[in-house]
Amino acid sequence: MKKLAIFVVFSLFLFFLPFPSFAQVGVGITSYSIPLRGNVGDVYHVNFGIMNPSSYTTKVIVYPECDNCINEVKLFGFKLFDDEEILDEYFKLDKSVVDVPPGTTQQNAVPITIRFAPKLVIKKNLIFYTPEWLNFFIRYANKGYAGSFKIPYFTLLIGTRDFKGRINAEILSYDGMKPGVIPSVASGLEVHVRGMPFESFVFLVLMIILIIVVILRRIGFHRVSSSISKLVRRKKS
Amino acid sequence: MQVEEKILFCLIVLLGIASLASMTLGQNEATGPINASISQPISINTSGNLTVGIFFTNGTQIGIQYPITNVTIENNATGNYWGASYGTEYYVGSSVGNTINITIGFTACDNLYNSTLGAYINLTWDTGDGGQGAFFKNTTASPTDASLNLGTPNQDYAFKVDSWTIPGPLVSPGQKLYLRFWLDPWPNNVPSGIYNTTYKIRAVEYNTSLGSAVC
Repeated sequence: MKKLAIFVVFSLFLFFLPFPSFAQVGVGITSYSIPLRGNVGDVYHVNFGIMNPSSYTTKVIVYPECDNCINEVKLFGFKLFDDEEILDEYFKLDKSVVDVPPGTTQQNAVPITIRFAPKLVIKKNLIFYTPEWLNFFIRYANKGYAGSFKIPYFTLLIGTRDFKGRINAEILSYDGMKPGVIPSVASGLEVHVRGMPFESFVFLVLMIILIIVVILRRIGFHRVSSSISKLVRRKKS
Repeated sequence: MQVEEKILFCLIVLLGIASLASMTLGQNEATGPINASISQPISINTSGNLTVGIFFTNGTQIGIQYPITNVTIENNATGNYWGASYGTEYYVGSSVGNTINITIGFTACDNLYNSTLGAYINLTWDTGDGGQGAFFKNTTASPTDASLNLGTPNQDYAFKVDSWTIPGPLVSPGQKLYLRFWLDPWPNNVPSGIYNTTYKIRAVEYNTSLGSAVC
């Protein structure tokens, strides 16, 4: 009888339990759009914040993403390689992973600073894709080979550059637990950079040529050519 | 002095004058005591049961995950009818503080995978069983509204891998996007085991690109 009573009480307890539910998890960015505009040589900072409308402490990864940073380089319609712009050459985020306390709103959002400082000499990448028949041999030596390799190079920032993309904020964990479904938000990113105008580039080249001509005139073409031939002879001997 | 030297000298003098003039003009600029700080946030929250993960269970079971024994039907996710009045426990909410409408997309990073067996269960659409794969149904009306024709599921509601599906093309501030999920696993001769993958949800300003879906 006693056992039956305990069973009934326990069953009633289970029946009246609320629907098992976990607290919600969230993420936000204080600005849905982040425009960055400026010239080569400009240096300025833009701030935005990461919000957390949930009751857990979240670890959030923040990273930029570009839609038009990779351009195909073709010759007679045949793709040779990709030319990749590197966003870090134009701006950088001061943090990539942040811990966001629960209930963080716009007022107390965790700040992230973008340092916008486009350079005159920028680094870019050439991306070469190797054919599958060749990948087999490369993977024999390097198992992690992804089928492409990059060659970095430096170039002058001539003309203007327009990039479109996003700043993404993605939850890595909440209260130390990895989420089964990863919530993320993205803020629209528009970057417009004015580099050296083409006319200025032509002017710079002419100036360099002029300087070289002046130096050569001062020293004398004969001296330069004889010193070069001496150098070659010394190397041979 | 040669002609080239004269030209070079003139150019350098010209550049010097121009830079000095701009520096002097710059000193006349003054900043005024007027500014405004504008905040236009974008924020979402996902229901606890959705954040924990989507657990497919056997047939029409709710609440608890059981191994799937029938691979020819659309098996429920545990939270599909687990809420009040058999409503779904899965939702993505646009925060009340948002000032803009948002678009919500989701993507699976890969098909369901068992690393020990090296075997996959496909999430993407296939015509077998009258339509198989993983499916979702979406609504912003109420938690009980999201229903899929389980006999002949529509390809438009099938999961995609490394490509965005957009269950919430327009979600207003404060609105919730309710979701339900089903799985008709294929291939049907898949070995017994636990299969899993990662699933990503992203919100952007209404009608803008969700970006790369590659995880």
